[in-house]
Amino acid sequence: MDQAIRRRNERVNRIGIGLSYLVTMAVGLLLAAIIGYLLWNGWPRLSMDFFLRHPEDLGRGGGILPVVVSTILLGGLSLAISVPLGVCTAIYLTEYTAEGRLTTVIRFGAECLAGIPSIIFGLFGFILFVITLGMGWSMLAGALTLACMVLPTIIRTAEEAIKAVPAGLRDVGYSLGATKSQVVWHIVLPQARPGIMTGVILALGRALGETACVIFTTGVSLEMPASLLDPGRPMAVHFYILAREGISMEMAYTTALVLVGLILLVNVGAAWLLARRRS
Amino acid sequence: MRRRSGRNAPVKIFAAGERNRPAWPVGIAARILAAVLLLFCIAVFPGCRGGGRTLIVAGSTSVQPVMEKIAGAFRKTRTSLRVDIEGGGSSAGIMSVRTKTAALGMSSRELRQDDPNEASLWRQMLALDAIAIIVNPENTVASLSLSQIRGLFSGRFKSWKDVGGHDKPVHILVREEGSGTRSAFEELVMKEGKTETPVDDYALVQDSSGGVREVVGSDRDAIGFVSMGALNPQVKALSVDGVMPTYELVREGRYRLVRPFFLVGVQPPEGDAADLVRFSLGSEASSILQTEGLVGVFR
Amino acid sequence: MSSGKGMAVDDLRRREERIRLALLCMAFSSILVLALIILFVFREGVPQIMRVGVAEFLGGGRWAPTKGLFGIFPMIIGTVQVTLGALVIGVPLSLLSAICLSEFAGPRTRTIMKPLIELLSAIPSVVFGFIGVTVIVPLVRETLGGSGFSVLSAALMLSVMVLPTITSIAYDALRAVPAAYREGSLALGATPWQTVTRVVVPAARSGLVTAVILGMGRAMGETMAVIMVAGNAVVVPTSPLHPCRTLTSNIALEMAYASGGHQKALFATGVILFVMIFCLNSLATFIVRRR
Repeated sequence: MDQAIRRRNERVNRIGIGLSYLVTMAVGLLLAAIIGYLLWNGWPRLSMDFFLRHPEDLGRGGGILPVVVSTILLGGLSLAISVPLGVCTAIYLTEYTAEGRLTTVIRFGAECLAGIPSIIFGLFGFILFVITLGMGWSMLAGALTLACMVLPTIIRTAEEAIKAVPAGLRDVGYSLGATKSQVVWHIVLPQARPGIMTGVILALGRALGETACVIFTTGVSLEMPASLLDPGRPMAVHFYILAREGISMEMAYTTALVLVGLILLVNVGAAWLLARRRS
Repeated sequence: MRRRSGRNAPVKIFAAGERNRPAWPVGIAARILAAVLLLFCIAVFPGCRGGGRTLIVAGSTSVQPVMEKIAGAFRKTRTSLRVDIEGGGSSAGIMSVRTKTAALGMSSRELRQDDPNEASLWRQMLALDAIAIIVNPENTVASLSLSQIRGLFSGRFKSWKDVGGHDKPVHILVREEGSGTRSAFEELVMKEGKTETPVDDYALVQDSSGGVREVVGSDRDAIGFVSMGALNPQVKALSVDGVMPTYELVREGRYRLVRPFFLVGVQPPEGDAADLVRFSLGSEASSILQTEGLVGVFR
Repeated sequence: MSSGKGMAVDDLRRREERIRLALLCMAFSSILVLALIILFVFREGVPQIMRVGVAEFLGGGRWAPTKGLFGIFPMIIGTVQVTLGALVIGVPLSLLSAICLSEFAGPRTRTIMKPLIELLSAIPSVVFGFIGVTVIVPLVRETLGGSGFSVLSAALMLSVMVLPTITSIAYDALRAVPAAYREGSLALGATPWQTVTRVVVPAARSGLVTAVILGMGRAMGETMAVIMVAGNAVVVPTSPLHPCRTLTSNIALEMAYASGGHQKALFATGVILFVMIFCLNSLATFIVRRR
């Protein structure tokens, strides 16, 4: 080959590799920069008081206790609704039917749901749960709407986890006389549990960050939700309102820090679980 | 994988390290449910409200902050009552009163007399709110006439030098369609007799007074309008036709860009709602209104 | 076989059947939810589209609900521009990152950088919007002029938000290319870069296209963050520095205040959005299946 061409190729090669490294590092640095920015501005106000006191003066002072409670209630409840539903769907799709028209239809439904933007879920939740079913702005309406939103994620990850269970295990169960439901319940699911948990945790992370969908269904009240039919304000919404209204930038940063910290914790937990399964 | 045989079929197969745990979907669902119920109990216990009556007040986001403060003071006198102040806008507040989603509504605009649904509602004026025209503190312009303001917001004056300021294009900020503050602004400023000049198409839209204030406070070339109660040192209020939006000048009627805040209901309120209304018109509420920059109705 | 054992088997069979039916019903939940969404959202929105007229609704340039004008054309253009902008900026960056992680990076770099990039997707969109307002908007205002609230600011912010999505799917697509392709190319004397650009990437083409389309879907559906930085003016932007309003922002901004025909018009906007994203996803599925 011509020396000049080879040298040019080598140069392009070096530039290309270098560029791609640069970009990748930059993107990683971006994440670090965002977290750093939030830490820098939000750390001063962080304290036990912040978590345990009620907000004062629309959120300028005090803490975010009702917000934390609303967040946990909303997340827990939406998981409690969507996980059994999603896992059962995944079980049915993998264990009980062969690939065919039925599974295509169900999967199509799940895929479509996955692509719908959260604002549409907000509209839907508002018109169905808040108005038509008369729940008013409430934790329940918000949790139901969030459950609908994370359902496809849970179905998808549960399916993958269940499919990954070796067929051999199932065969052993059947050969010992177990019925299908027994094989699923005692053998397949325990094996698939880490993978399913990963999906659940990822869904939780997504639900915690939701704003558009929650504002229309859960309301924006700063009071502590005393029942499932009370409105409440989860952390993402509280942050949005604090920041947008300019009520208190320090409180906004601190709330954002707690929220991002929570979601990162959740995601890291999922990754750790996945790594543990693989080892 | 160790294989152990029990006395009963089917035989359970244990993966290495696994023990005889309950079937996991039940386990996890039960655990999540238990956690939720536990938190629920924790949430209820400190409040320990007897009866647990809730009063919902919904409507204008301009009225919301001051109503939150009034409700806060009101709650101190009635610890067993829970008052929830929701936003949503004047129109939404009026609608939620009609659909009984809320006991009281907050409106920052007059009820539409040509709309039979609205004309029949009960209303009580709570306060007078002024609309302040704000610019960045570094803007040299401090006083404008109403027609100049109209010209700026309609896009007729494209640069600040057209009204005596620096030579930079004007960045207009408005609220969204359907906001009580916006319709009040359009009524009071953009309307001249019967004709209404539309706001410039390129005007930026923010979805709250706080948002408008934030942007104007950080952009030297911006102009916007907010409720007088939302003024803070971040922004500078212009004097309109020579009158500044201050408490005294609004009360005296010299500042012309004013609009009423109303509490609305389906019929004259009773019970808790009536108590709240009465409280809102009292002396403690009046001083709260004054700190918020609003002029109360009763002294 | 004694009759006792026969009974037990029948019982078991009936129980199994009941469990199967129960699971079948649960499996239809996703279809049920989808159907409900379509039912409720379309039921509110479609009559309004009909009332205004499809051409007027989609092509009309003025959106002034209080005066009875319902044209969403500027919003459609706004969505398209912001999404395209996000892709133009974000796709090259994502692809380069995916290529680096998949082809060039060592295992240690990979285990650090890949989770780092994926964690970017964990940050809630409102936080991005906030950073957009406090960092990107002033930056654009100071360096390029205008108010800072613009198509450009929204596109910049969205490109960062779709980066992790496109990168991880592209990474999987690149990894799926058999090693033999790479080895063959290198054996023929191509440099690693040439191998990547001329062999691996074309081979992973359909997966990469899926990645881009999914990123597009995410960009189109973003609401809160875009409201904070795009300016929300109802105009057809003729320059990246002009403000714009997307379909999603339109719904979120006015939903809380709307009633009657106005509210129905917002549902109608939702219908259009739904249709657009549905077409996009079908396109993605079609491309994947064709492979």
